Amino acid sequence: MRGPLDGIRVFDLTLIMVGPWSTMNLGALGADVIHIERPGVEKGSLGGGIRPFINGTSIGHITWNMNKRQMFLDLKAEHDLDVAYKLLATCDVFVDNMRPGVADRLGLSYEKLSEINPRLVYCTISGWGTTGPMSERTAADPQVQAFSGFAGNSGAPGGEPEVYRHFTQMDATTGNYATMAILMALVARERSGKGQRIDLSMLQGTTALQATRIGEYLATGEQPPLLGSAASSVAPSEAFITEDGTYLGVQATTTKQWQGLCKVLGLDELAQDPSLTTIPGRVERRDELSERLQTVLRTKPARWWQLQLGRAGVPNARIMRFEELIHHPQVTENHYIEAAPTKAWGDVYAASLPWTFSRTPATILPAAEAGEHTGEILDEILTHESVSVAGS
Amino acid sequence: MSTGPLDGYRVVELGQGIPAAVAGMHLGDGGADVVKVEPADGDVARTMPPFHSTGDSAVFTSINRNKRSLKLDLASPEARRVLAELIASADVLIEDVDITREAEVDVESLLPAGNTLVHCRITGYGPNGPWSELPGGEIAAQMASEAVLSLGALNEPPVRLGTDVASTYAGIYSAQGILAALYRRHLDGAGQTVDVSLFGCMLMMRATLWAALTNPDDWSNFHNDSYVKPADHGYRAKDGALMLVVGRVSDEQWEALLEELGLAALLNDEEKHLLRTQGGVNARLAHVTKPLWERGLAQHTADEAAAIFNKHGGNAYRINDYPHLFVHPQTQHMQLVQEVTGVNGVVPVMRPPWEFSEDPVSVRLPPPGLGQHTEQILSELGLSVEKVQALRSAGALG
Repeated sequence: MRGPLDGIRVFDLTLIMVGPWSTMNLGALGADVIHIERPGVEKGSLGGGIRPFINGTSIGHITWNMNKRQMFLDLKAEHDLDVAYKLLATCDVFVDNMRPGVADRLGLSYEKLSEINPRLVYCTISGWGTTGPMSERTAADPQVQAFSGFAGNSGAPGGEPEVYRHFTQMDATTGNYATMAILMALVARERSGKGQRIDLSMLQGTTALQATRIGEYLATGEQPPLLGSAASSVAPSEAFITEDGTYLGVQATTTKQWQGLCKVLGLDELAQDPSLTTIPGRVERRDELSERLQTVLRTKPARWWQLQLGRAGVPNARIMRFEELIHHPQVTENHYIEAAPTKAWGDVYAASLPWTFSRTPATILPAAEAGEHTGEILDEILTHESVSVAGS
Repeated sequence: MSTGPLDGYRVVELGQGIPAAVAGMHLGDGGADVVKVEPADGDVARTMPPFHSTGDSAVFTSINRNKRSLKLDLASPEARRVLAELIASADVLIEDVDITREAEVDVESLLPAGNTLVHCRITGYGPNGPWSELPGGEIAAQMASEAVLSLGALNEPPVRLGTDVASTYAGIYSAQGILAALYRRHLDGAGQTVDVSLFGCMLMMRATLWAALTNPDDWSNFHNDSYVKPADHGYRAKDGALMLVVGRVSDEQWEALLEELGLAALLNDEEKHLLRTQGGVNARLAHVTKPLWERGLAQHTADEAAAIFNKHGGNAYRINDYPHLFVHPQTQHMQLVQEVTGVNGVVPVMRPPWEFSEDPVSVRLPPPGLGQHTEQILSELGLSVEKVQALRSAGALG
């Protein structure tokens, strides 16, 4: 068994990132995901042609199309569209993230496909929604970070808001919400016997992610302040510099964590101050507290504090980089980052599994080249007919 | 009419703060009956500032719609027996292990016989490894996963993502894992444990970078360069900043774009060439071309400037703060927010982030008051009024 979704088949008509990320999740969970590309597609344009490349292929393709089989179909050719319909009759899920209306024009509307396969879960992901004044506009991470408010709530104190330079999170976030909704519809189908259509947009997905900060705005009517590494709703939750120059992130949310922190730092008077036993009390005096904690934390190296805070059960961490992460036992023993052995691009550290299932473990399938499985998929679904597709 | 795709499922949420609450909320969005178990003094998130005019915490109300609240003092053996009965009546248990460990609740001892429960355990760092018992936190996960290296600048103090990404992603991936396990249970009748951690989720979300760092053909790209670039505040116009993408602007559009921005006369040929080749937000030299753009942008408001870019084949958006985001016609059109009436009055909350054609989802329940549904839930478990009274007198209900 490849995972909890073993037996589920996905028709994956997605491109660049938001759609591919959602189906990559389904593949890791054990679904047979069939990612469709146009025959003759240039290798350099796969994965949106996002650099860097490995051996001439975008890391976008190599990362976001893990856990899938690859098939060529020319959906504008009647013959291949017919093959698509036959394949879709065997599928449980259809996902696309083309602009609103494009799937319909290709003959792949929900109405048409649910006629062919009433059990089909049909998920369509848009940028800004399928209707409304911005629905026709394209959406990619930098624009969504800007519009959705995500780039507006990070930044150094007293400065201007800044963009997260890992330009992928708006797609991955929305892709995750798509995966969640598809799973809900698959569960519902066990009760109803019927598939359904799911609509979501990057605007909905990325604002859902910001729920707690947006909640602050909805409560006060004001933009949450920029606080550098600190937080508006909890204190302390901040990076402090230690004696060796290493920054250490320290957080105390519960009273027990707060008491533990004060004890490790020898700040008994803070521990005994009743106005500091509550979160609002500590947030109210954030600046003063930060200074007190910083003064002590500067007196010993990060390693020392990590040992003491760990024993006291106080959340803390320093920055770990790629080279350290890929070998760290906390990462390797939980399979959080693993090198996936690909045929065309060597071992690629792209594989990662955020869930640990006790009974039906999720698994990684390294990315394949465009169209690689066309013949084998045709053989599986169409053995009784003589069918071939362009480019196969 | 169903409550949503998860109509008929019961979920017990045993945690405080953000991760378990987010997982519970989204299962509640899907139509599940979510019971949030709270200690006598309530979920710690109820104390997180700022507060609505009703006195409700903004953080709490933002992640607790579509659930009911049961108050139990889990230090009491009677309360633990009630919790065990509640879990036995449920399909799913979401456990924040940092919280149950701190409260010294032995959850394993409360689980029903047989193996039909889907049990999600949320930790800071994952079920295995040397840090499996170290509690997690938002800033800790953002630093351990090196997410803070995509903000701020070299040799400057770290800047966090203002969004609570680690805690929220942990909730999102928990919901996914739970749903996948529920699906499997339909086929073979058996439940299982699903472990999710803040650290693991952050590493997953940065997967693209791990591939970029593996063995790239070149290093001059926005993934590999992200570690050494300065803080990116977008492109300053008169009254705010914007993000812009110009990769699809044709040569004819380019001339018109520069003209309308007022840049045609302000830049020399060398500068124009630099702008044409390195002019987008993702370009290697974006921080060098930014001041050139800003000479033109200084003459326009952010909205005017965005309109000029979009007219000539670019794709530009204001870096919105929430006041700008929520008055925008598209945001209004999408109806992201609705008002609900909770125990303390009216509070605005966000709506579920998707639409389902056959099992529509909605905000069915406002964020609950502390212990608001205690009697109701205990009665559903078959406890008599007298029994509930006895539990209350014994202090088991906090």
